[in-house]
Amino acid sequence: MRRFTSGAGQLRMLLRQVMRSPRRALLTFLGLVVAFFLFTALESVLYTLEELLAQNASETGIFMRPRSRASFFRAALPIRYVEQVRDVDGVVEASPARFHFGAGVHEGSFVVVVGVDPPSYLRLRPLEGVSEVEAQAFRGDRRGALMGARILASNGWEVGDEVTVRGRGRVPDLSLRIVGDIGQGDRMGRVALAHIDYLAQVMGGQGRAAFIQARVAHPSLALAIARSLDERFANFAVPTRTRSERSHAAGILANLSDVLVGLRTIGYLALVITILVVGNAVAMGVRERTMEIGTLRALGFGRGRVMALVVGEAMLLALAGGLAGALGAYALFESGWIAVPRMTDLSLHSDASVLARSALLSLPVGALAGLVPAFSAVRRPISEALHGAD
Amino acid sequence: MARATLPFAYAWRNVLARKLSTAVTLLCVAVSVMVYVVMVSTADGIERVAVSSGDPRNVVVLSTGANSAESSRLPPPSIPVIRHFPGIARDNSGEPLASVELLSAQELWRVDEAESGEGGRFTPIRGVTPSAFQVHTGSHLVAGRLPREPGEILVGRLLARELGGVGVGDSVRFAGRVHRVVGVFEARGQIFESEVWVELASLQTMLDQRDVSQVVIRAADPGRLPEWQEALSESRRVRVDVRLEPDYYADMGRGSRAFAYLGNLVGFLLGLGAIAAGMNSTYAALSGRVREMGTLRALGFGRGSVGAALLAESCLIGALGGLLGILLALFFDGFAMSLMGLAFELQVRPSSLGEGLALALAIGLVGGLLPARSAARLEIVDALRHA
Repeated sequence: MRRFTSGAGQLRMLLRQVMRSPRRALLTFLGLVVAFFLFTALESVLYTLEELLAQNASETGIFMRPRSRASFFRAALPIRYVEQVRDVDGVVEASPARFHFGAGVHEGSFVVVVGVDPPSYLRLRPLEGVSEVEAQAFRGDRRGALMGARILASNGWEVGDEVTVRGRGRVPDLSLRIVGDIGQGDRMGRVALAHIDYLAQVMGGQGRAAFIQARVAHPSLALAIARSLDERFANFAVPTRTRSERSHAAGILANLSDVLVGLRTIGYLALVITILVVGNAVAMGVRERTMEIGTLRALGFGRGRVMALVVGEAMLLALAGGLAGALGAYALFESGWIAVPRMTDLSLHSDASVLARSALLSLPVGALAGLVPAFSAVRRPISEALHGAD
Repeated sequence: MARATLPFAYAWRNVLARKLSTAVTLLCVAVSVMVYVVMVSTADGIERVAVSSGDPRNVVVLSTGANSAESSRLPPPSIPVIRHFPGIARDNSGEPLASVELLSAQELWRVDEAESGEGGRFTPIRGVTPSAFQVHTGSHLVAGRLPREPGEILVGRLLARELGGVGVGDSVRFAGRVHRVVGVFEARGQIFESEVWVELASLQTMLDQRDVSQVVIRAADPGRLPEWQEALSESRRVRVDVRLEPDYYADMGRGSRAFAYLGNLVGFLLGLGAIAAGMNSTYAALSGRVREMGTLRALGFGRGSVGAALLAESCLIGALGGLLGILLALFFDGFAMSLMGLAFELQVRPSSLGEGLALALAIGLVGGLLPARSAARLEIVDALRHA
């Protein structure tokens, strides 16, 4: 009980110290809010990018495409490889895919149709928003398609409609029957799934896929299986390049690395500057309280206790400002209001882990900021401090 | 004397008197300005590549409906039709100035890097004929020679730099085989400098593809470019889309706007933080000098001039911080970066420096305004009695 009251007493004392100069406390608080807002916002941007890539990258997923390719989207991989991939020990399922780029009802709108082999695709990648009835309809209807919520909404289409996805460039039109709705999942919002053999019939290139995706039994197998597959197909007409989905995502991130490093640096730079700002503000307070600190020490407060008071003041301020700034950025990003200009599909968001990390960082920021003023508070001999200001 | 103004030296001495506070505020302003200028320069760097890449006399011929070379495929029979379209400029030997090109993006590694694990750099590979150097004005070899056989490549200046100074005789790996660098080329800061150029025929073999992506042609009479462009688009012998080269690359520069936008936002936020820090230290300066202010007023300096002196201090710190920030930002001029296969150099323009300085002054002004008002409102008697 005594410990509790003394703890509460300490906090009251700290609060009173902080509020000694409400204007200074407010300004320092504002500086902290801005810095932590910026830090959390930048970290949220990075989080969104990383998560976007990691989302599709399961630890057991592998991904095969032709070793030399003009374009990622061109269907050049023989679909018959799928059977051989499935036969490999440790491979649970394999499925081919190719693309059709089209437009919806509106000029300039984008619909990406992914041609898949429905049975193996749905085993490989169960879709949460798709009911068993819809899945069955998709498997059984050669012209059937499952569509993302955003496509349905922006074109005014509904399940059951017969629709035409107009081809772009020399790509022919595609008429599809919508048999299901992929649901609200952001990731597939603009994707339509159709039968790969129907796509081949319309577009040509029978028996070819842009890539083959597969799932292995255990994450540790992914790399070895990917290698052995590439060796197996090395002397075939179309040699392959297979990698784990994780390393594929890592590769994309590596190509963005200059930008990622830049953004991260700005965030941390803001925090470092904030340490100085808070430190300066606390130091001003300490200078103004020279006599009072001398009194405290004369009353028997040890150096450690006085230093703890000063550091505590800085940490309290930092925690309050850091929490407010981090929460503000988190709330703003989670509200979905932030859109990247020209990329309407990519809505930025944040995560509790980002929020927690930013908020917790406020403690070391405060501690570091308080350190120098704390030392200067106890450096002066008591008698000198009692004699007053500078 | 009654409305005398305080000399500038007064503000300057005061700035120097409280070193720590001044230094902290200065640094805040400097960082805000530096980050702002660097981000805007990133945008300008991308923009410069986009703007410099198009020759106003050239048009890019793509297959119908293709928005970019990546989605364009011109079948072999259409190529002679385009190359010999009436109105094409010709070189001294009478050959049409037409660059037939195949574009592909490949992951590329230096030969001493392991191909497993982390992905390589996405690198644009352009299959070209020797005409490319004539059609893309400004592109020329700076070292080595043109490729003569499969497996020989040219690398652009910026790509070579980004690969850690790859030069003639070195090797890189892409599309599953090793390629030897036989030449390095420059292209006046155009997009080509972040590319690998190979012989068109060997890229076609490598990709097992006979189609090409685009043909870039030079108009004999640039004055009649629009009509010519229309005639070609409406030709019955080939179905193509024709775009002016500068327009074609200008689209690419749109990516730079995201950076400019982000730069403004981050600069604004950091500026707010700097204002808070500046205001804090100016208020502290005021509270430490209340009696001094009272004395000055008693000596006959007006309310305005006492406030103005404080404001001048704040602006002075802002300006100094701005100068420091600009200096720091200048270190980044020409800094090489790459973004998804596009290599570019940061371009610090005088206008961005000016904007940075304006930001610094604004920070100083806003940060000093409230303390200055408080200073001006001091009553002489109260101020002189101030402890």
